[in-house]
Amino acid sequence: MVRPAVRWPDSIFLATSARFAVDQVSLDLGGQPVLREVSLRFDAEQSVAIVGPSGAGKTSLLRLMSGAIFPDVGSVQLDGVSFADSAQNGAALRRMRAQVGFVHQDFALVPNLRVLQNVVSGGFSRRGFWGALRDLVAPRRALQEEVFQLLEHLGIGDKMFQRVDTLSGGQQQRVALARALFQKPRALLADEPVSSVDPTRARALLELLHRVAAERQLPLVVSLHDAELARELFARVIGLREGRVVFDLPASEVDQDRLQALYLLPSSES
Amino acid sequence: MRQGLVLIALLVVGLAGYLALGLELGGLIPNRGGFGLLGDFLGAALRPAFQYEAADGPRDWLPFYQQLLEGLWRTVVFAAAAIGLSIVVGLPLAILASSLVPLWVRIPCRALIAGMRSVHELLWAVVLLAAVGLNSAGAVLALTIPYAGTLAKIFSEMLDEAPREAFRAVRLSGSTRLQAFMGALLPRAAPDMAAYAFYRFECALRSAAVLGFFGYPTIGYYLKLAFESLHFREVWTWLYLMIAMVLVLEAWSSALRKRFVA
Repeated sequence: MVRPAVRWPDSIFLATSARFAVDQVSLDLGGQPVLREVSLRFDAEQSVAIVGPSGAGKTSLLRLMSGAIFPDVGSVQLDGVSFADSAQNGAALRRMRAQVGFVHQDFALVPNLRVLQNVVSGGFSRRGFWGALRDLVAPRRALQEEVFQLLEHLGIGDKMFQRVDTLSGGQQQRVALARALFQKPRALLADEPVSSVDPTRARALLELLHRVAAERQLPLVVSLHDAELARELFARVIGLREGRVVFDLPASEVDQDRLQALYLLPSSES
Repeated sequence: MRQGLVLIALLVVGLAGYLALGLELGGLIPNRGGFGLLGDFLGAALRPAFQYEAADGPRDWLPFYQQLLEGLWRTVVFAAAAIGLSIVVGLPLAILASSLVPLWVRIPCRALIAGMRSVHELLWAVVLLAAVGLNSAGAVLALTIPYAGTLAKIFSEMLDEAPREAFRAVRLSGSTRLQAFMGALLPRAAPDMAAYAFYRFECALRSAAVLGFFGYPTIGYYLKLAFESLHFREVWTWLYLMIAMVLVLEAWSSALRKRFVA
């Protein structure tokens, strides 16, 4: 494991990595079946790519694993606790959600706020109302220093006081990653992180995700359109098609035939 | 097609109104004395007064330019107090009328806002004048009730229309609704809200000026005094002052708007 060049606050290392269990999950959205009887395990320090054609259910699977939505059938558990069960109690659900860092496809940042403010909003789960207000409006020195170290590590330390909408797409993505890391999560999920960048940048970005996940011993689960990149950079690749798991293999065992079958147009469209 | 029909319908309604009122355009032509008055009034536009027209005014009157500054200052202060209070009242109401809160809160709140807006500030002024007399707080309140209602309505629409991705993302990171609102939704809507509040300040200035007609010491008060004494040149000075005030504010607000919204 590569140690970071920058010294992290010790609290970051206290978190141990999370384990996910997806059990017999089916999900309908708007009357359409999205996932069908999906069962998967994600253990600590794994790097997993979920690949498949659009509409295969990749994003929905990640959203289930972050507690954004709940399955119609089956359960999604984080360290043995079901998201749906904890949803009975708002505070319990918030605690669970706080453990999963999520990098959204469209970054989901506030464009007219500074980078600093966007990043600190990732840490609200540790703060009360007034604490969060203070972090936004008048962040303490120590907090600024902490965020700066994090941004510096991601290569955008000098952007801390810039408005997000003045940054390039790649820089904004790093801000989104910084926000997710500032949450001090125990797992890192990223939804199509490279859908809008060119191949060179895509590779650099995925390597960055791997680096930060490894440094913090976080399991990394990423949905990807590009199966080649997935095979090359991830330890484990899961193929999803029409809401079902088609294969779940070490990257080395994913061959061309399987990928072709995965991306084959359904008979109705060919 | 549809728009054309609406336009025709409005024209028909207009014509019906015209007939119902028995309007005669001839009534708009002044009689001989009227022509003289109109001429005096329009002529005075070219030579606004720089001092009192009546040399025999009360001795305790302020010099004219001080009177102008006094009227301007009062107008600005009334408007500023009203808009400040309107934001304090309107923002919480806006949140309670937005789609962020459950229906059983939202609907009564929207009804309250509609009620505040449906009575014009001049009517509130008449009511409050009768109730509390000629009192600055009454004037500010008269402006605040409809202005807070309007701000609340527009703010809540802005909150509902602001993109929600960041709000949802912050919620998903384990924050409370209120924290995510404060960190990711309110800032998103804030530039539009600030620009709109500034525009309403401009409106409040005009309203505050008109409140003078009820005796509050704003521009309207002096305008009315000058008009009643047929001091048309003074009237024009006050009118020009008001136009200048609005133009300055408009330039300021459009500069701010560009900075906020662009």
